[in-house]
Amino acid sequence: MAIQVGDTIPNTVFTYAPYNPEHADVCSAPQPMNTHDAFKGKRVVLFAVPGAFTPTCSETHMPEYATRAAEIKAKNVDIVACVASNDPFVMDAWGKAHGVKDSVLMLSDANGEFGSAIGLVNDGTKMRMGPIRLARFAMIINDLKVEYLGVEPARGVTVSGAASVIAKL
Amino acid sequence: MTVTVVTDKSQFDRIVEQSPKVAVDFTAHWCGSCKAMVHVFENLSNEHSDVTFLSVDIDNATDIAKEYEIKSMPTFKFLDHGRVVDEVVGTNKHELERSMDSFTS
Repeated sequence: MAIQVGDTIPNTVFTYAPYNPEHADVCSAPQPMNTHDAFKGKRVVLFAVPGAFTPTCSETHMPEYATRAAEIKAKNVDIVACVASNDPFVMDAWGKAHGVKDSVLMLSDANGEFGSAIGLVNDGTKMRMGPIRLARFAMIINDLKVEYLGVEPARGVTVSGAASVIAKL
Repeated sequence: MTVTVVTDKSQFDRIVEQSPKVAVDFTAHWCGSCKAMVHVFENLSNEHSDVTFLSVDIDNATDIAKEYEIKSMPTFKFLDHGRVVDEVVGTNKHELERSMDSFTS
């Protein structure tokens, strides 16, 4: 059964390549990020896309959050993060391709640990996209508890988009 | 002097204990930026015989990389009697040379 509002998010490990503002030319070493350590005591907007760089939906879904990240953080949000089923190098490259810098944390749930634990993964094998792909959703998490959850019912970005989340903050 | 590749933490710790001045290049085989600095580091090893030069691939020596909190590559650490006294991150050749000069002066 999928996670619901009021539930505590699972304790899993994402990986990500930290943004280094001083050295644009360096290679980032992927770091682990334990959800319970990183999000404890914080208000987080976490949105998920099935894949980085995937056309139409993911190419507009994430950039909108990057553009509106400051607006979101001004509404008592500490972290804005994007998670997808790709590895941390792809997430890093996607963030760089859109000039995200440190506005949105680009997280990898490549093993589907988080997605499976919250029951929001889909099997993409029919479309040759791999057996574990995160569903498209957005969450507002307050001190590890789900405050808002918007899971897209069909193709497109509605309840998981930046506008919908900002309305709930 | 040449650059010694180290993969084993106990070997690394032993060298650091025995050498008063150590310079370490934290690198990764897939990192393009690191390749640009390999020759610079090698040349410095030929110029400074009083320093022990080590190269650590973060994928082959994850425990060493973790201990020194390596987040970006290349990262160069300067150890004086086992203590980190300076660090250079990135591909700025002059910055690395300047740090090496301070380290050996």
